[in-house]
Amino acid sequence: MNFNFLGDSRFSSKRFAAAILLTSGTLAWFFLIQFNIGNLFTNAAALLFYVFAAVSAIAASLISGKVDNRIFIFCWIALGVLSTVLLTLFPQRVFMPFLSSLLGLSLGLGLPSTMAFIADCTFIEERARISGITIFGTFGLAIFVMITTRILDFGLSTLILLFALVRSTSFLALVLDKFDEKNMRKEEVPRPDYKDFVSYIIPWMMFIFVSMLAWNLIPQDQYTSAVTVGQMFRFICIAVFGFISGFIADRFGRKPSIIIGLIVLGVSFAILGQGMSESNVIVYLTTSGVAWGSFFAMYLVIPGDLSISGSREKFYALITVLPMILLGSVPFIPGLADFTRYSSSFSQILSLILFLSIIPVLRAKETLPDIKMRERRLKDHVEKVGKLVSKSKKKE
Amino acid sequence: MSPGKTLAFHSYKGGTGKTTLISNLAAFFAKRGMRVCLLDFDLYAPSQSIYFRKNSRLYLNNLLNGEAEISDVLVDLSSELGLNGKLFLGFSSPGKEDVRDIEIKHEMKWQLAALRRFLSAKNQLFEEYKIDYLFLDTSPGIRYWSINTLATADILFLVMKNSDMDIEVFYNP
Repeated sequence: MNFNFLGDSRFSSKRFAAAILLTSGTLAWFFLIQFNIGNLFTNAAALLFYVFAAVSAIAASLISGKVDNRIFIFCWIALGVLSTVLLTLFPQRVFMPFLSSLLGLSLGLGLPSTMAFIADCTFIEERARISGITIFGTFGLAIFVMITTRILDFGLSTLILLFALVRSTSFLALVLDKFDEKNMRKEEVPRPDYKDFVSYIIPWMMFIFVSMLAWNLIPQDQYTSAVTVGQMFRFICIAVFGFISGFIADRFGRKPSIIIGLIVLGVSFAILGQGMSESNVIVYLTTSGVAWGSFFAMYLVIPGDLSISGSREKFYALITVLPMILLGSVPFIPGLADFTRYSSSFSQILSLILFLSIIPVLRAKETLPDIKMRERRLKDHVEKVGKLVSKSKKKE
Repeated sequence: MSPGKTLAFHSYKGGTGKTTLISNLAAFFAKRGMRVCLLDFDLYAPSQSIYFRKNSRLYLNNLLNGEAEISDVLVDLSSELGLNGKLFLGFSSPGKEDVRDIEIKHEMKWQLAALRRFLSAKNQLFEEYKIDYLFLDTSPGIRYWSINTLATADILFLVMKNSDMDIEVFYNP
């Protein structure tokens, strides 16, 4: 059975669901932990989480292809579920360094492989849509869990168990797909394109860095309800605009989506720079969700576009590791607290940095070949002409 | 339901003799007493005006742009060629600017608007001019106006040379 949602795709529905479940379950788990129980971890424990995630992602990308994919994926998901459940059994602070390391390990080990799986079984002209749907699935799941927890008002232990359940949804992927080498698509670029990859990594890093700094600008104790509401809107926007960006990127190329993301985030900082207020915090978080949506979808695509089977895990590891290093290290930047006090001018500087990071994107090669875009336009044209002519024949 | 038929002649490659074939067929049908119209939809490389050594004040390009009606574009060659029936010709502009213009006009909005104008002109040809056969000469290959033209036809003729290469590109363009 083939999946018709993508129109011209020959992506089987089972493989489609498997690719989405595998990545979405893990990413949704990560974002839920980060935003809901992130305060359980001290800065040092959070740093351990990111360091272990980053190191394990690099290690896993180096040994990819040398282990049985199916068993590896099973162990990776099981580790994620187990380490989450352990949080409820050992909530004492003394266990936190160990548990955060374990959680980090359970994130990093398989993430590059699962992202590469999406690229391995898709054609370049449908990859962005699949990525967009994956982001939609990720944040759709996260929003559902967030709303459920708000309505049912779960205690911490139940909440953590619910997150473990979210993580375990990835197990379904193993039921749906065999994860063998067969049916993987061997095509795309003749050799990995490292030069353009660097041009795309710069805005990605800037985007994460600037977003992290901006997050630190918001006095969260003072604006708790605004942050909660804004966070919900942000997740909704990420889901919706991730989905939309995927469709835009398969039609007009990857660069427009990235540029839109950078501009929207720049604008959202400018809003925050107008002054800190509840409404500005909500508007900022919501608007930045649009930017995050397009960025998440695009950075699930670009490493796959620029790499070939076998090297993909390394590309995805880099995309995953670099933000983790930033996420872990931002709280340790000396003098950041003093600097962020001048939030207004600080926001303007962040906006400027974002606008400047458009330059490497403009210089980079568009990863979706022009011929694929023309083919798509022509296909759309044929469909519309067909409809117009048959309508005219009916009139006759 | 219009009584007339629309016949489009297409080829994947150029130089297959499509224009020669369609022009002669149109003239033959008109000579046999039928009312025929031949429109040169090879907008990217017009050749009918050269073939018939005729010109017109307004072209199909003007019709597609909404600057002219079908009646302004048609040239009646029936009496000149001594035909029993009628032969109307519609040329596309051989001007460099017009050819370049059509090459770069890919916006869907314009394409659909132009196609709507053509469909309306086609109806007019069958209803007012009582055309029996409308011949459409298309541009070779898969291009916007060859697709538009082919979509409007009742019968499609694919013209190719008897060579392996021509047959191969037909199946795998």
